[in-house]
Amino acid sequence: MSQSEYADDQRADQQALLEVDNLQTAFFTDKETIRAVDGVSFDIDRGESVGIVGESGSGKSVTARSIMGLVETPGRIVGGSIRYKGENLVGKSDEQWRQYRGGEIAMVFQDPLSSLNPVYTIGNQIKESLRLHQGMRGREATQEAITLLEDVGIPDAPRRLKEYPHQFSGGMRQRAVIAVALACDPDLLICDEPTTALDVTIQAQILELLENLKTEHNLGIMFITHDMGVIAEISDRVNVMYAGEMVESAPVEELFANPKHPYTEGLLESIPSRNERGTDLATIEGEVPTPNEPATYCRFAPRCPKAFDDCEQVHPVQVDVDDQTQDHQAACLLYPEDVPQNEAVKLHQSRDEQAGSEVSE
Amino acid sequence: MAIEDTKSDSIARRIRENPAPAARWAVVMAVLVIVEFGALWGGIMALPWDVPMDLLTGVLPGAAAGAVAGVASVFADAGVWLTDLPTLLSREWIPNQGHRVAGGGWEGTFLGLEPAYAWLVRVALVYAYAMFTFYWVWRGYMVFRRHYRYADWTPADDMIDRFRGHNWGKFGLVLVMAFVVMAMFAPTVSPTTMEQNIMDPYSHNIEYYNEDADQVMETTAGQANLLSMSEGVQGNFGLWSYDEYDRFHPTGTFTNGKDMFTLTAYGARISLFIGIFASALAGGIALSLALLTAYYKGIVDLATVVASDAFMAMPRLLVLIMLVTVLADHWVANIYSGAFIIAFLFGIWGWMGLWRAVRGPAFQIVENEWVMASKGFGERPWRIVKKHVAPYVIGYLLIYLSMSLGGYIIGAAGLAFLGLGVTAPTPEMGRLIAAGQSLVTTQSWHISIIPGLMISALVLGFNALGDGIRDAIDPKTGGDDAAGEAAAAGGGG
Repeated sequence: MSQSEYADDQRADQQALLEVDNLQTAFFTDKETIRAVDGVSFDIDRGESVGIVGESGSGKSVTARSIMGLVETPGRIVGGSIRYKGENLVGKSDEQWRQYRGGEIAMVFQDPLSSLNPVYTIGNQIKESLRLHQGMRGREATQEAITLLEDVGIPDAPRRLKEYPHQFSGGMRQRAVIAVALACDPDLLICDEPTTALDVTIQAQILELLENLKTEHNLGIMFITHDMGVIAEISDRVNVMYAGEMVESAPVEELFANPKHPYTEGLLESIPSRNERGTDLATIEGEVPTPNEPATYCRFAPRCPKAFDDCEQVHPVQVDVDDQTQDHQAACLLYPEDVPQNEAVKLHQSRDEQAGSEVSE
Repeated sequence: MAIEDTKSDSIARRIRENPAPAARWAVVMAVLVIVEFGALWGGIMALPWDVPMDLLTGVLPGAAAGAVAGVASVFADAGVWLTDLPTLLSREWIPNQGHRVAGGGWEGTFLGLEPAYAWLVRVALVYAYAMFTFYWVWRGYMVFRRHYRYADWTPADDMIDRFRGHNWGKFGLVLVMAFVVMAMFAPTVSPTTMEQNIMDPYSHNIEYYNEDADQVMETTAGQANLLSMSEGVQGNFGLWSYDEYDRFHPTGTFTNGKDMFTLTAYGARISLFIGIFASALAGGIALSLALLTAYYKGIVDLATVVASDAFMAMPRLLVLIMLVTVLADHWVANIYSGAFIIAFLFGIWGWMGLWRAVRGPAFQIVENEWVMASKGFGERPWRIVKKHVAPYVIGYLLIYLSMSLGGYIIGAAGLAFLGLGVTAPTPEMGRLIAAGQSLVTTQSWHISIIPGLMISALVLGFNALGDGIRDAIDPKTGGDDAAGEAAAAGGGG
């Protein structure tokens, strides 16, 4: 994205729209404590879309819900900070947090089928958002709802407004959900796998729509998916999550051209279209482990083709992959690439201890 | 229905475009309401409206309270005036109170008929009117459905169809309706009036034909009652009988000579009031708590479980007896002759079963993603549950309510039987049963049996209606499903 475009926006200059720093969210069950999000950090600027990618169970959705303050018991945020426009949201009461939901940060959920209430018309649900966040009622709200539906590319909007969710196709419904979110007039839009339930052509349309909305409304978008193809399409920057941790973070072209973390490499090798015909599709053996203890080792090591002994002893932290490349971090003992292996391991060890002592304070 | 229809804006606009069916329906409905407006209004005015008004004026500061009281009294006067409007089926038009004349035959009754037949004509007309009115309301719904409804089909259509095929439910509906009509039109269907029969018998004169003197004589109703008492062997005026004063008693007389039918008709009012008020209160508490616990879960839920267990652990009837006794001298106990406090206590002690019944569904609904989505849009908790959870839960609640309603009526009658609750002279079924208890083996069996049968029929009606509604709402239950019966047995009451 170009910074110059928003140079006049003071806040965009000074700080990112959203800064997540060392976020930790854990679920406390009778049996164990599950660290679903374990030290995640990333920034989102206005007009930027940041992708978060990872397998099922890697903590993507919990990250999104932590930002919304919608983590349900027995889960709660146990550490780190979420700065939205400079204001730390962690530690706010539910009522304070509610002030941010919708009007500041809105969320589009995975399943358009179930995120609309089947007993109310689409118009009713859009107008509810308009009433809540823009104080619009009656004719004015209807007019605005029609505009919003047209914005998200639903033809014949005045008629569609009076229809029920079941009268919409899957793609139309997801557009309607996006319209409901836009009716809140948010600055940050969190999309939790919004295209997973849709077929590929519709998926492409929705992605294009989000891209346009991002520019039109100057939205920051946090895009969660498990689909590398979708990430390539929508994101400016990609964060790869694994077992509650960020394992790699880079601009989208860089990530696809030069994946550094063995996990990212594995993910990319498992995209059908990237591989030559006739070759078997590569898979990553095994499952995402449940992160139920503090990480004192690399959680990916058991599945990692490049694992060595130290991987079981040292917890890798995010480091720049090498001196030349800016803006590309990986949490793997193999990096920084330009220092000898044992020094790299020591670097990770000392930084991890430092981070650990910070948290314990 | 064609696509172009869906373009129309609202129900108002759809009616404007095609006014004929709506107009036809509305004209007939208006006539139906106008001819009986006084009676319908009287039924509404019979409720203790002064209670909320008194409470309001008590809470408000002086000047405002005065203003409210003034407005209220204007409304009350207007209400009374409206109640006195002449109605088509009133006792003045079709009188049944008359007296014999010397050569046989009757004077003062409708067309000179025997009072029994005059009364029968009036009751039959009232029920015919009511049946036609209900039919017309139903017809109104069908007109809406055929001409004005936006959707071609809604899930409610299936529910109604299922209910129409549910004979047991329809039987319940008919019984309940019969009672509602009797309560609503109590002044009209009674052979005599409330004032003359119950409240002030010594201020009302009646004329009768004295055979010994061979002339029409006059006496007070109270005096006449003294010689019309049903006391077993000493004297009895049973079903379908005339007393010495040419008065007709469809279901006999009471132990003090008052007309039983009048007592039961007005008693039905009290019973229905208690049942409906207690249900509304219990249902309101149960619904609020179900929404609250489903939304907040955890500690709130636990606290409510403990509270409901605590309430359940107290034997309801004993607590009610205690409270009614303790509050006997309090002003609250005098509202609506004590019916209010009974209904209130039944409501307060009735929510636990209902809450447990709807808690499960509420928990289920709250897990839907649209609830999470509307949280994500910053909606207030109360509005979320009201808009996105309550509509799904109210169906269940209605079923359980219709089943527990009978329990409240029976309970109130039980308390009255024990001498608690609704006080004389306001008639109450339970007190009538109690009064006739010792005479049940004599000729005067009707004193206990008639109110007993009526209250059983009313409760049976509500239960059958609840059964019908449940089966209609649940697409999975057939007409008489064993699983459904088991689910119903879990309901409160």
